[in-house]
Amino acid sequence: MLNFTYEERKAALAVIIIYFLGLGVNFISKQVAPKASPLCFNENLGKINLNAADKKLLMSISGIGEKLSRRIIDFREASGGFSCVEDLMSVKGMSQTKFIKIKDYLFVQ
Amino acid sequence: MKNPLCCLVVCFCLGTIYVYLFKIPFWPYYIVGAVLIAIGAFMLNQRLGFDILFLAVIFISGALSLKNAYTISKADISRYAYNRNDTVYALKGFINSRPVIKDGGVSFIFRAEEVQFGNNSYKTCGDVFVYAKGQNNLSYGDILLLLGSLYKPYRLYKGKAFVAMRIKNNSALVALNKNKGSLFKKLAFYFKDKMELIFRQRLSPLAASINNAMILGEKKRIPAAVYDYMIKTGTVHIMVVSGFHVGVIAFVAGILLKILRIPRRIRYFGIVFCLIMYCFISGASTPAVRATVMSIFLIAGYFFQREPDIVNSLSLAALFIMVINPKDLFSISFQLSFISVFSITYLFPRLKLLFRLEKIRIKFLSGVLDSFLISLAAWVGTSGFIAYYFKIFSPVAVLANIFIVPIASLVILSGLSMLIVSVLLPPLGGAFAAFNEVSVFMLLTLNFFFSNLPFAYYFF
Repeated sequence: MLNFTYEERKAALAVIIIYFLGLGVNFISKQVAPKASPLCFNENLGKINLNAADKKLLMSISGIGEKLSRRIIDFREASGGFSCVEDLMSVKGMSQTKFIKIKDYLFVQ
Repeated sequence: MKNPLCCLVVCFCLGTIYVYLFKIPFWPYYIVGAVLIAIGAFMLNQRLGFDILFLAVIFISGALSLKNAYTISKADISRYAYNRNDTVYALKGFINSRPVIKDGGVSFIFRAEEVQFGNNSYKTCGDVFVYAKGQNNLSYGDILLLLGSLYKPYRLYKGKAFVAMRIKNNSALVALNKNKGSLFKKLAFYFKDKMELIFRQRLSPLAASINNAMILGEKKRIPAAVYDYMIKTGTVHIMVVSGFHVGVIAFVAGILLKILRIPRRIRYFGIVFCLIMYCFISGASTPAVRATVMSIFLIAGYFFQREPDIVNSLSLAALFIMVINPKDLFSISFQLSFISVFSITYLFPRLKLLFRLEKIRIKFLSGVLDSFLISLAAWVGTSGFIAYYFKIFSPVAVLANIFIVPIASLVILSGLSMLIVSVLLPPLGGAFAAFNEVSVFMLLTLNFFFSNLPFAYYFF
């Protein structure tokens, strides 16, 4: 049917055995759930420092427009800086929903 | 059997289709396959018995391959993404594609390696489609830390990545290093950037977009109207990198290596290297991979001084693509690419006999009729699939292809020549660019003409 010689049959069998083993190993590796390990990146990675950011940087966060960024800077200058991210709630125009949306992009130092 | 690989591919495809239609458990089928392999090892001397067992094992391999492809790893990044998810994730990994700069931002496929959220960090795998606003200095292989929310797009519009991440904040993307990714791919992307630059500098925007699509496989910048005409005339296949491109690359590489007086056997390796490089440059789409594997198989035939067989090399290409990703069997590009080549290989010699073309003594007429029959064979093979997928039937395709394919060949030849000449002898590049512009103009005019003929196409 396939017209293989004896040597070709041996080679074909070897190839299919390797493929089958590879398939099995790949399938098993997909079943292994990853283990949790402690945080390894910097906690503040990629976040914006509320006490140092300028208007443009604040506006790069989705949800903060020109008006709100100006109010944040005004508040910072008036109060002598933020002591924690939650202080943002005191800024005029900052709603609870908006705060939840943006708080992960910010930190205070 | 003259084409044993063809028989193996059919069995593999049947196994794949079986899993596509019916749900099967992995391990029982795996055990059956292993038992058949063990029995096959004892039946090496019995030709027929071994063949039957071997084909059964190939069928099971096809089935298990698709089952495995459908199984998502428990560490896959898609497990962390939901349709509505406000959790902010930190991802570590590297850029696994050529970044595309568009609309003031950059998009790329990110290979995730580690994910962090809440108070824990996990090893992960899988690809994420990332769009980062305001970034334009990224390249393939850059190791990055990203901060943002993961989501599953409603439409899987970005190739193989099932998960997307949008970076809106400049400081939420931190570049760590540039050492990841394969050197070969880096080189391919470097060449692609240079080629795109030459097209941009030498050609008009329209001609550059057509050349980018036909030579580099970048179809995003083609105007929608041009694409529409090509669909109507059934000539959109010329926009896909295929056998003709690979043939031209092999020919040019062969000539250049011959001029450098490199020995014949080493020259074959050089040609294969160039073909693989071109495959990556053109985005490694299914037709490009098919054409590359077929060409390498034919070159290997010359190397080992064996008679090349087009059906066997086509089968090997299909097997190669399906072993890597069995889901490709159900993609339109795979089906159209293979069915068109197969129908040309199978139908063309038969049509030639039917019309008794060997009796025609005038070479030019014989050549024109050959082109007509090749076009007819490809149309017969693909029109059913095109009607099913695109809901269009284009009788004009047979006629249009006779005129448009040779002009498309001129575009490709002049475009490739322009690229080579622009590097080696820049002052001569202008002549090739002018010829290329004329070829593109003729290509578009003919497409417009054929699409406006009466009864050219029917939408249903």
